[in-house]
Amino acid sequence: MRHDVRPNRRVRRLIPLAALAAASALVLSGCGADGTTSTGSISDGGEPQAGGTLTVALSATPSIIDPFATSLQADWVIARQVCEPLFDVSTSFEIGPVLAKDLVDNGGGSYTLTLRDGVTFQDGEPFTSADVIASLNRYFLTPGNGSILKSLTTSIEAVDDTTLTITLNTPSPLLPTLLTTAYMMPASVVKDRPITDPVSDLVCTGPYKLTSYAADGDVVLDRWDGYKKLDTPGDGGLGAKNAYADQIVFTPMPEASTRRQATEAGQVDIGGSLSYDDYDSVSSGGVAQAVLLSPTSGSTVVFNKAQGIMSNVAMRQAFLAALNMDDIMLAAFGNPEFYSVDGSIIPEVNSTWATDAGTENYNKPDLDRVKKLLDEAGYKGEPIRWLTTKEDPSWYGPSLPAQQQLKEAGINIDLQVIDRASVIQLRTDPTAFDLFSSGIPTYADPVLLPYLQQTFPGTWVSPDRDALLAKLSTESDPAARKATWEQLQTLVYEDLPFLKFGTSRPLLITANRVHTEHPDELAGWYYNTWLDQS
Amino acid sequence: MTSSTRVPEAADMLRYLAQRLLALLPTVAVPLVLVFLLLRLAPGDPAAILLGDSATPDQVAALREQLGLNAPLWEQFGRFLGDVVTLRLGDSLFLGKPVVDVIPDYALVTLEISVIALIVALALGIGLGALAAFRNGRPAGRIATALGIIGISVPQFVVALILIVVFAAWLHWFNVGGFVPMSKGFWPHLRSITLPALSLGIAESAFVARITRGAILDVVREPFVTTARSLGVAPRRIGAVHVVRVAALPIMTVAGLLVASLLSGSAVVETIFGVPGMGRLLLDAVGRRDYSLVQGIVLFTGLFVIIVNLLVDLSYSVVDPRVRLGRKSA
Repeated sequence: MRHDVRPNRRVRRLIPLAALAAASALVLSGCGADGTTSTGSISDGGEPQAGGTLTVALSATPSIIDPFATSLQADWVIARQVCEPLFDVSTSFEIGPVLAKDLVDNGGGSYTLTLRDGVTFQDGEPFTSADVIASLNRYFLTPGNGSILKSLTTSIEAVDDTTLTITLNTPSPLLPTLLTTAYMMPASVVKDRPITDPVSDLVCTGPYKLTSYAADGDVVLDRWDGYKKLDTPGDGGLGAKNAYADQIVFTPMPEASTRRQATEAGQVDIGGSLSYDDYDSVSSGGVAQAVLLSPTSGSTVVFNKAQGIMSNVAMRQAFLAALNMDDIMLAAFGNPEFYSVDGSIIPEVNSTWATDAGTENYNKPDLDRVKKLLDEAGYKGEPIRWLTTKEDPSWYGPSLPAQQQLKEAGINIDLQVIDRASVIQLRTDPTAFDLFSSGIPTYADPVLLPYLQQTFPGTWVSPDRDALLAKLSTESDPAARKATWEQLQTLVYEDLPFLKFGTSRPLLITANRVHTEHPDELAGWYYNTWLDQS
Repeated sequence: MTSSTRVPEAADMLRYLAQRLLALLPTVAVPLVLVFLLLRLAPGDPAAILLGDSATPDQVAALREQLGLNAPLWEQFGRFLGDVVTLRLGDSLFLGKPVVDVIPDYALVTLEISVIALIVALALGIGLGALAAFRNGRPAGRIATALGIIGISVPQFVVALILIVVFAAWLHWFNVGGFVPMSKGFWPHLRSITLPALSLGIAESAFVARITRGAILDVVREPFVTTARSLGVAPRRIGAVHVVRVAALPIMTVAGLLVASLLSGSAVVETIFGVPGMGRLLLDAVGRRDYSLVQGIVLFTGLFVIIVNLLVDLSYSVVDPRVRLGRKSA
């Protein structure tokens, strides 16, 4: 059974985006959790049961648990169980309030934020406006959402202990979205604290408290009995966080095969990021099951628009016209169950923003068109430098079959396989590459996509993009925003600053005693997962 | 032995020690300088990695400035030398704390696994090698030799996976992976480190076995062994007292070299078993271009290997009185 989170009426009125997202979540709910994600009985666990220790094997436990001090979302796994933001997202990227009770648009960029009553930190101190101000001031120092929010914010002032006034330099529908990664911590801990000084002992408001932490070792969380949970049904970061397991233990196991063996041997309950090669043998096993989550991870290449042969848009269009994405994704991932071939930049799981606008030429290989475009671009067969790395299979996987298809179309790819750190640096040097592999995670809102920014490596200069992004950032009507996004995605397919091959599905292994109503929560939220106690 | 001979021997030993300790400086300095240069000349920007995809070039540039990465190479090198001399080793770029505070926890784990692995490698290797030598040409010797060849041919990670399947997945005697610190109890801790240590030890024992076999076969052909036989000394006594003692020197040399091999092999084993040791820390640090941390680990492991080999050299004279350290041969 799937549940939807229903945001407070005033919030919905003020944040129409949330209403649209809720509607899309209802559409998704029609599919049912089983239909979208699980291959086994993980969502057929009967009534939830409390108790036990849920042990989760991750490829690595965070070196830094302070979510403001690391940009790696994988490092936020501890913060997601221990801390809470003012707003958060569901497994279907619906946005709703968590520590916020109410957000009222006063007009002219002024907003009144009211906090939930009676919330305390795990050290017993009350959660107040002062904590919000201290946390947001530190959040402003972080790249991404924090920086965007800082650029929009004129002031944040406390009216009383549970009320604040946030003034933006322009009215923006993005405020709740930008607050979804702003985890609230006590002012006594984070006030004036630089992000280069990570917090090592998280004390927040979440359903679990940090009991012990060792860098690269086990992280132990215990249920916090003082947690004040919402009474709406839980889904991802929204609604009730039930803390079914008495304890959650995260244990690092870098090798996928070790995570699999440990789950099958009963040493751990959930093994993250399984190798696709293990899928058939695990799904036919008796002690554990393979779980495919919804497709969220886009495999992408980004072109160098600043200089070189790929700065010619005809060349980029030839690239698209040469590629059969079905064959590329099959060769890269090995089984159609592991991915979806979709041109939507924001995957279907975020149905609010998924669209096929502009994708008419996506996955429509046409060699005659390729030849015409190559002639138009004046391409003479010179090598095209493609940077990729084997460290991320979703980056490397599509590169080999794509290279072969491009060769057959007369495009000469010089595939340069290097380490990830080298790709990340070389892609900032326009003289060092013609295209590079990358991955697009699923964002709650297209404005957050770094690939659309001119500052992202590859340098996409486009006044049309600027105008559409500006409209998307200020328009408050959900339907108008969706229409704007469709125009922007169409522009992406015309200009091709980057190209998506398809979207892969994370694969996990879970012991048969593990159950959850929303399998996609296993991507990082574990409080609503329960263990069969019989 | 008279006091007149003891004094020169002690002086020789001290001179030898002083020479070795002096030689230690360039031995450590060369790899350190190489690592310093290679890390900075290789592509990879720690600031860009630290800030992620969402960071703007301005934010990356500001962080580079803050971390001192924009300074000229000579200035960074001067700072690096200062960190080495003061033994602070700088701050880890990613962990935000001094490298000297980061390394000990990881080093202790690797040290513990390596010591157990060394014991396993020597016990198994010497046993197999001795069997292969003393039973040379007989079925037991051939089997022991074959096991040694198989052991050298099988990669370390395969040994680890076989051990996991048999002893963890089937028999449930040990943990498949993960690390339990000693503070959680001795037996749980032992269960978590046994398979990593065995994987390392078994993989290295084959090398020890081959060296042991060769050393013993060399010694048994020496005239003093023939003489001992002709004098009617029991074969078992010849083997245990005379042969093994002389053959011990190359085995001890191998043991010294094994320390370096175990430390490098720990990266693979620690990754497979999820053990938070120096090998895994080094891999992560290189991947993230955490300059200070990589340099600190190289310095620590370099010093450790050199000191262990120095101790091995010093122990030669204890095992074989014919060896006099620091004395020039006639």
